[in-house]
Amino acid sequence: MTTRLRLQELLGPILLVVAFSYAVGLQSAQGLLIVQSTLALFVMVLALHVFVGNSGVLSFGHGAFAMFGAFASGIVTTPSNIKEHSLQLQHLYPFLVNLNLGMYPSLVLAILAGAIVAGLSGLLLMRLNGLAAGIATFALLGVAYNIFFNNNRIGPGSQALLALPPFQFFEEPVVLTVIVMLAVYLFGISRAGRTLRATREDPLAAPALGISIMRVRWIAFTLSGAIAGLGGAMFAHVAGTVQVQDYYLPYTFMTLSMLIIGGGASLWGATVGTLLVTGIGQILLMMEQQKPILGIVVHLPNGTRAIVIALSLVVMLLWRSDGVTKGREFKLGMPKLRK
Amino acid sequence: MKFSKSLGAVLVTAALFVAGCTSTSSSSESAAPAAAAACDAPILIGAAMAQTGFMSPFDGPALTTAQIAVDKINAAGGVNGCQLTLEAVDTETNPDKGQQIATDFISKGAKLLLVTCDADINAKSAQVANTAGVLVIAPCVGSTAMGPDNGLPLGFSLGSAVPGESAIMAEYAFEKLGKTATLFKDMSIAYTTSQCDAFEARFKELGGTVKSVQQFSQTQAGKLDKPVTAQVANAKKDGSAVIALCSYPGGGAEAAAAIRGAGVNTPIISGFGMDGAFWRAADSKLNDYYVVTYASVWGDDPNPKVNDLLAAFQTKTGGPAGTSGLITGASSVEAFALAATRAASFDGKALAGEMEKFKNEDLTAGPTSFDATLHVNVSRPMAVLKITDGKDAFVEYRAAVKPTFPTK
Repeated sequence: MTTRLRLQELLGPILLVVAFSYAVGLQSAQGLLIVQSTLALFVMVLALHVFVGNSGVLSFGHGAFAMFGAFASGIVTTPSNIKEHSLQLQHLYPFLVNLNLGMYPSLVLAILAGAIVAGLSGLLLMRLNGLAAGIATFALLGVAYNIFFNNNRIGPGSQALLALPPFQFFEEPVVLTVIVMLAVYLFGISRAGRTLRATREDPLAAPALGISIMRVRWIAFTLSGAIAGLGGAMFAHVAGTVQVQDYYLPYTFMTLSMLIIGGGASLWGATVGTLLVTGIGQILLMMEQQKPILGIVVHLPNGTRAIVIALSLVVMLLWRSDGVTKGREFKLGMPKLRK
Repeated sequence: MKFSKSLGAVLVTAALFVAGCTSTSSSSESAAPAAAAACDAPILIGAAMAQTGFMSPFDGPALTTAQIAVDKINAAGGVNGCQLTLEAVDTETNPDKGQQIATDFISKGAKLLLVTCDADINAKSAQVANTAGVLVIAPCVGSTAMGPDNGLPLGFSLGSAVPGESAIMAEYAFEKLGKTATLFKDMSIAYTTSQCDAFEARFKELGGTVKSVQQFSQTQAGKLDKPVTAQVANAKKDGSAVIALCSYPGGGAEAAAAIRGAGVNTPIISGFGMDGAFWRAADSKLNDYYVVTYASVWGDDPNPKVNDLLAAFQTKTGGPAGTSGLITGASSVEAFALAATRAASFDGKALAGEMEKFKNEDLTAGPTSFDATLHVNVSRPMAVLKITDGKDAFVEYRAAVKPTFPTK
């Protein structure tokens, strides 16, 4: 188990993500869109990794934090004249109509929103274990969904908020992602991270060592809520629009699949899972759209993509439940010398 | 072993991306021979619309008529000396897929992006075109979401929006059916809730009484989420002269069946959402049901352009049109061509500028107007159809006397 900083464990995933971003993102407009969406999803996967990976407790509720982050950032960056004139935004609280922040202050707001919602709900949710925790977090997602779907004082309700400012430079989401990777890794090797993994490995022995399970889980839950808030906001700015459906079941399923397929317990697993699922998804999408791949056109029926990702999740859970990476961190495999 | 595994994972991942992203499509069909020297290549119209999924009944036929309009314009010599070519990729009613397809079309140089007939589903793809400075038209969006007020200055809808549609429903109901109404308000989508809201506002303004508003919901799969027995009982108690059913099939069809099934024979009026016969059984004996929609697909529409288009649709698809919303597909291309001719350009801003000057332009969908803030029609006449013994018949074309917008 990781306990101290090993540079390659950090640099391996970072280099892969940066290499992927440049190799794909600078090729074409579609490449750029794929990279930016993937990075936004990846930040969400990292949020899940912080909590789910380290604690072993499943959460279906992180979409709620992403939703809070996305709407917080979205509503303060939508230009005031649109908030004044749009029929879908006519019931907004007046202070929201006049509140205008730049992209980065709005991202800070998104992080705070995610952290606060996670911190408060975590006070109750972190008392639960196993299935009960999974269901309760799912209920949290449902609550958040209904709040945003029905409350048109704080957003567009069931409709879309349009005209969010996009990232100006290609590097912005890349840098944000790398910062999050750094934070996630440092948390993993911190005292809180280590004790949290101890509670995952043995929930009976850990309290005997003086660890408060609830306390360490709460810390991780709050941190992952903050990261999910950022991930949600990034996703919104990449698309230039935000609506509540964007963060509901498909989003939750997609990001959890990425984490589980890659291997939830490590930063490396989250990275590989995200890129693998995105890559396979893109290839299947091209086949569905009958585009040639290396000169060959394979035609698959629509929906194959969703089925393949779901089936690979089943396969992973059945035969390799700790993911492609077995939950290990990245390691350049030099021949093992005697220590 | 670890070396090979870690490295293997890197390589596989990297390989997948290279494979996934380097090849570009080279399979686009060679378009009709370019006629004039003004264009090196035909002008691309990209359609990021739903050919499958729950929006496909609206998008699919509109896409077909868009192609019919493109063929017709090309046969007449094209636009500004350029031939048009329409390419469509199925979004499966998936906003993220639509976004990707839109990006693809824009990078291939599309001058017009056609998007799904729902402002929430098309938000991402419309945003892509708008940001890139490309004109974006949703053939039949029925809300006022496309346009500068929502951050889409290059976005238009060739549909007839709720403020006009609901006002026509309310005005027709008040004038012909009676002064008291019970509303059946489908809470599942914005289109139906705003439809009932505007109906209520206009009906009351005319001096009518809304006795009660019965709410219900349907699931994404188009089923009532619970039976509407209590709502129907309330409507029966109301004894109103007319029921306004703001919904769409299948939940709307179930609600209509529940109302008639309980022996309530009050005239019912609905909007475009309930157009078409596909939601009724072939041997339906439905009576006294009114639908306010684009046109009549039953062969009795007085507008010859509509009938010509319906005939071309039948020839192309081998089947009759399901709903009249399809005329907006052809009209989207007609509007694009008209604006491009007047602007002598295909630049998105120039096209939007010309479209904002549209004043009762003679398109297949009827006289079409836009202005600097309203990028959808609210004053265009719509057809009122009456269903008797399960058969639709054209009653009249009528425009809203007073389009009714939601108020603050």
